[in-house]
Amino acid sequence: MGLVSGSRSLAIACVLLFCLHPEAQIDGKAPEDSVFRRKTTVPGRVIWDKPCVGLCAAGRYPRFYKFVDDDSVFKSVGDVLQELGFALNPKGLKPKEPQLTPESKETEVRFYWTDLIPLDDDTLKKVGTTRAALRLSDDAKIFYAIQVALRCSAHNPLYEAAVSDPRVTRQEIISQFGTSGTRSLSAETEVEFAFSLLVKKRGAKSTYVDESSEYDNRPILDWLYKKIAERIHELKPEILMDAETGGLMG
Amino acid sequence: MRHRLVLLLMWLCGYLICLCFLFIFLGKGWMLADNFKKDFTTSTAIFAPYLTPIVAFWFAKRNNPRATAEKSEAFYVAVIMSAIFNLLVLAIIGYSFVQTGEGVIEDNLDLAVTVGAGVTFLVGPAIGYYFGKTS
Repeated sequence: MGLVSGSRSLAIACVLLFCLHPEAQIDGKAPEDSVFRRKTTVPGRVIWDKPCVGLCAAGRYPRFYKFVDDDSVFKSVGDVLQELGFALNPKGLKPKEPQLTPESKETEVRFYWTDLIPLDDDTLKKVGTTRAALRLSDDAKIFYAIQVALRCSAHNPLYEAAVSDPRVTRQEIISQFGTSGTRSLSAETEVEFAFSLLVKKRGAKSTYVDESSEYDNRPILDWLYKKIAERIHELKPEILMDAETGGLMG
Repeated sequence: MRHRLVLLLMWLCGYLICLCFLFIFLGKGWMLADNFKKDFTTSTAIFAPYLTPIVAFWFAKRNNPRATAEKSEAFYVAVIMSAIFNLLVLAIIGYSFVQTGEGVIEDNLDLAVTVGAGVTFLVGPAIGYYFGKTS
């Protein structure tokens, strides 16, 4: 009798422990922060004066800066999305994503959204994932579709400083890196992405009305980020700025 | 009394068959639960304008229950118009059984709403006249 009572108490304690365990409570819930953030850079550089011949007491100084234009970055992002088969910024389908929509009209920020793409076998194959990996139901009677919202911001600290005050910027580079001109100094543009994935589902003969909240957005968004990053890493610096005057050349 | 019952049953059957269609769609996985909520509201909106007064008149107090020739004619007209309405609506919604593709059910329900509204000028006066005469 005592043994039975003890076993029952132990069983209740185990159930309580399982229910109160943090992992048990998290299971099945969508992650709190559903925005997928990534940061990368695109090349840019400082071009120094030509090496001097003979005695060079004065040393070498920054002569030009070469940057990638922000608009080239934004255009590349749009191109990649379209090449992957997404319609870009279709009217009437703009998702309500307050975390992604820029509040101010910053020129270095763009907001993109796609149309609703059926998540069929072809799309899954293209992305290289499965319904199981996305934590979606394997029920063939349920059809899913995805929509991607994306915020992209491009920022180049050196460009912004040089536009603001070219002389001070040049002087800072000299004081920081010297006048040997041998050290490679980067003028990279920092590009930040914030992706959001919306997954909707429907029956075989009905419309998409139900928004699914339990899924893993990483396989699709990571694939998309890699495609975009590959493209923008191929960009060549096209803006040439005179380091002394801050004037744009050619 | 019997005439009113026939009309009431006719409309009630139409509505229930429509709901049965929705349950079959749901059961077969042709629609999901969230679709059902929206589609149920749409289906009810098709039948409610007619079913509501018919049920209300069913409970209303009757005057002379004797059937006159005029009342009988009004009844037949009301029955014919009601049959046309119900058959049209059910045929349109039932067409979803043979169609395939995304949004077929909602498209057909929208069409049924449009057609139902389009034939109101036939059904509304026929029912109104019949119940007006028999109340």
